[in-house]
Parts: sequence; structure tokens; C-alpha cells
Amino acid sequence: MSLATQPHAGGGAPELIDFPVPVVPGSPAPALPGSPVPPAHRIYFYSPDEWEVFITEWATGVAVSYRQIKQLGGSGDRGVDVAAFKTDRGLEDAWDCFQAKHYDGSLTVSDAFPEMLKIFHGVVDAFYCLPDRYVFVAPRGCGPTLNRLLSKPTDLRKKFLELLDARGTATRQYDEQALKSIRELAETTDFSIFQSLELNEMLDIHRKTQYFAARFGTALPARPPVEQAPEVPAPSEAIYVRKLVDVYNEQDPASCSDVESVAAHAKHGPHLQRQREAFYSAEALRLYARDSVPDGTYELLQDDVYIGVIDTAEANHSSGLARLRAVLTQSGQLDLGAHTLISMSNLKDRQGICHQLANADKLTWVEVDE
Amino acid sequence: MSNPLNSPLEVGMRVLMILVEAFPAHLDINRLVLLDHGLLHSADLNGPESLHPPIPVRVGELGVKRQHIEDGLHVMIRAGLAEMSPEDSGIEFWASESSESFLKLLESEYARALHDRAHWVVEELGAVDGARLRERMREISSHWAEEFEVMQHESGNDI
Repeated sequence: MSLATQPHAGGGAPELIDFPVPVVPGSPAPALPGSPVPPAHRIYFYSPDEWEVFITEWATGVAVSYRQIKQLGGSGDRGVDVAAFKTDRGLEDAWDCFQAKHYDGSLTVSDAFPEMLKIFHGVVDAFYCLPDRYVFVAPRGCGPTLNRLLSKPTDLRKKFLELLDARGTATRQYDEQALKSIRELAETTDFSIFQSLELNEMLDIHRKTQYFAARFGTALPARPPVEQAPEVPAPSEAIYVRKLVDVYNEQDPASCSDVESVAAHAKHGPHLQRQREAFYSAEALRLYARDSVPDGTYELLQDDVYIGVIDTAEANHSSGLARLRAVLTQSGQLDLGAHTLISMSNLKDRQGICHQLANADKLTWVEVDE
Repeated sequence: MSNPLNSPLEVGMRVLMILVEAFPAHLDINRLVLLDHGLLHSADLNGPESLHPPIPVRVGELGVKRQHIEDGLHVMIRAGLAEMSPEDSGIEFWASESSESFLKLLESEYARALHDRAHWVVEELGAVDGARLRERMREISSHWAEEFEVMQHESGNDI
């Protein structure tokens, strides 16, 4: 396959496409034993497809430091280019370009030259202004020749002009007039905009995303401490707290009519407080999961808890309290070892998940007809 | 792989580090022999702490090193990490385009230490001319006598 890139289809402006949201695995990912493979080693051997997925995940980490990111041009068969905008004006103002195609070997000057031509050509045709940084990102990095040129912008410009004047294969898709304008532009351009991104720098960005632990099988980051449950239940707690109040009301109709009276109750007050703390603990786990594991991982765990306790909840119990206790006990006995998140959770979280399910109206302690 | 120590693989990796540091220079085997010796016994050349212990008669290593380095280079050339071609002055070796990113994958402490020494030894001896190189060789070889005395002294009896 020739590595010479085509100019933009139809000679028109480059299209900007939204980044796809990285795919979520449909089942819990078990941590497989085996000697650990450092992330950099894995990336070194990525196939083009895997590389493309990795780039979309990495881009979510890049997006944090920019106003907006887009894919530049179509998603080819060798990876994508990331356009990262620093302002709302997109390509018309300051932006950085990450050239993230998949190359089988280390990047050489002959790989980089057509890409540099293309970016200059786009500026000459006024599709965009010159990016502040044009960064080469490749699974096997840059070769030593290109690396040394990138660290010496003056030499890089000299080499670029040499190649341009040699009129090699890469230049054939542009007409003479365009090449002349490219040359004029290149002569006045500071070539320090061309840089390369090392794998470890790339991993530092990826490490901050929620995909890192799942992709590289590393331990999950530490969990922040759980915040205290507030004195008065928040509106978001309304449903499961009402269900709990129904439970106490069934036990002691006289003194348990609403939350305030239950909270003051000698026996049921502490019980309610424990349930609310468990709920907050599970909420903290949910928020933690949002930042450290791929989307949907927490929902998989919730679903598994639901499957594990629903039969217990549907069985006949003498009272709502008996049902609640049976379900909470059952949730603690479930084998959830297949879930990565379980390594970061405790029994309180499991009980809290039951209350989250009650809050979502999936579990009820006191049947209306009981 | 029976014994990785001094195997073509180990020596080849070490020589590759030297070639990458010297890139884009092409080096012949004589220089590689000296540079590799200097990399392992950097303290003998007034450089950083040596990676290998200063065993007596370590200069004797130079005798077998040439063959080791040739074998090591062959492994690296087969892996596409180094290249060779005959020049007027003899056969020369240099690092290939894929060598640098490959070496970056090595993360162990020892690899880092090797890398430091390779950097130092190429700065020190990579570009000196032939005459000066032979002089440094003689300097190293002259350790013979004192290494020998140290050995006698340590064993406490006459050999």
C-alpha cells in the first residue's frame, strides 16, 4: 500500500467529523492472570484497528486541555488525525494537529514528508491556518533520522525544501503553482511546529482517562473517601427513603409515619441512618466508576446485583423488614469477582446498590397488597 | 537460550545501544570492541561507575569480545535493528530506523544504566581518530600489569 496520502477528496476543504465514543465491553472484564505486559509494549504491536480505538480513547484525554476536538478527514484504514481547537473558531484560529496514522514501522522522513506537504497545501488553499503544533503520533514512534531532524527545525526545513525541489512521488499530486506557493510558505514557516509525541507522553494522557485500567489491565486508582450522608435526605433520595419508611411504619405504625419521626425512633433511627450511609457509599462508587472505568461498567455490576437478589425479594416474607434484611444479606453473599469494580468496593456498597435499585423502582420492600 | 549472559542477544543489545547513541555515524568492529569495553568498565577510563565488577585481568575480555560482538551484531541485523555494509575502510555497522523506538521499550534499571554508559562512552570515544583510539587501547591494556599485581596482593601469596 502506498503511504502517499491523497489530497482532500475532490480538492475541497477537509471535513471535520465528531469523534466516536469508544466502545464499551458488553460483559464484565475479568482480570486474567499472567505476567503483566507494560502498556508501551502492547501499543508497539497494535494492529491498525486496535490503534484506531486506542486513539479515540486517547483523544478523550486530549480533549480536556482543548476547547473542542474533531477528527480531520475521514477515518481511514490506518488511524485518524485529531484536530484540537483552542478557540471556538475552529480551523480559522489557533489549533493543534495530531497526526495519528498507524505505521508498521518507525516513522521515517519519507512517511512524514507527504503529510507535511498536505498540511502546507491546506494552508495555501486557505482551508485552515497553520496549526500551532503538528504532532506525529505513531505506535512505533519516529525513527532516529526523523527524530534528529525534528529536534533541529532549521535542518528539517532544509530537508523539506530539498525534497520539495527533488519533485519526488509525493509532490506529483500537486500542480506546479501549488508547489511554488508551498515553497514560499515553507521558507517563512518556523518548522518547530513539527513535533513527535513519545509513547510515554501519550500514555500519560491516556492514564487520566477512564479507559486506562480496562485497556492495560492495571490496578484501579485509589477511591476518594465517601462523603457523609446529609442530615435531611436530599430530593434524589426520596423514593428509596419512602420505601424504608414504609418498612418501619409496618413495624411500628404509631411512631413511624414519616422520615423525621423514624429518625427520632430509638430502634429504627440508627437502622435508617445505616441504610442512607450505604446509599451514599454506593453513589460514591458510581461517581468513581465514571472517572476510572469505561462507561457502563458500573451498570453491569448493578445489573448483576439485581439478578442476584430479585428472587429473594420476590419470595414471600413475613414483613417488609424481613424482606429487606433477606435482600441485604443476599447481596453480601453474591460472588461478583468477575467485576473489576468489586476490588474497590465493600459490603456497604453492595447494600447501597440495593437501595439504588429501590430508588430506581426495581426493588420494593413492602408490597402494597401485603 | 541456555545462558543469557554474554550471549549474542545480550552483547547485541549492548552494541545496539552504542550504535543508537552514535547515530547516524557508522562504526566498525574495532571501535565497537573498544566502546563496549569502555561501556562496561567506564571507571577505568575515568568515567562513571563501572557496571561490571573490576575483576582482575578484565582486559583479557578484549580477546574474546570481538567474536561476541560479531555474533551479537548478526542477531541485531537479522532482527532488522542494525544494518551493515562494506566500506573502503572495512565493514561498518549502524543503527536502523526502527532501533530507537525498540530500545525505548526497555524499562529495567539495568537497561537505563547501560543507556547512560553508552551515552557517555560515545561522547568520550565515539569520534576520536584511529591513532588516538589505539592510544586509548594501549592505556587500557597497560592495566594488565597492575591488575595482575592486585591479584597477587589479594591472594596473599606468590602465584
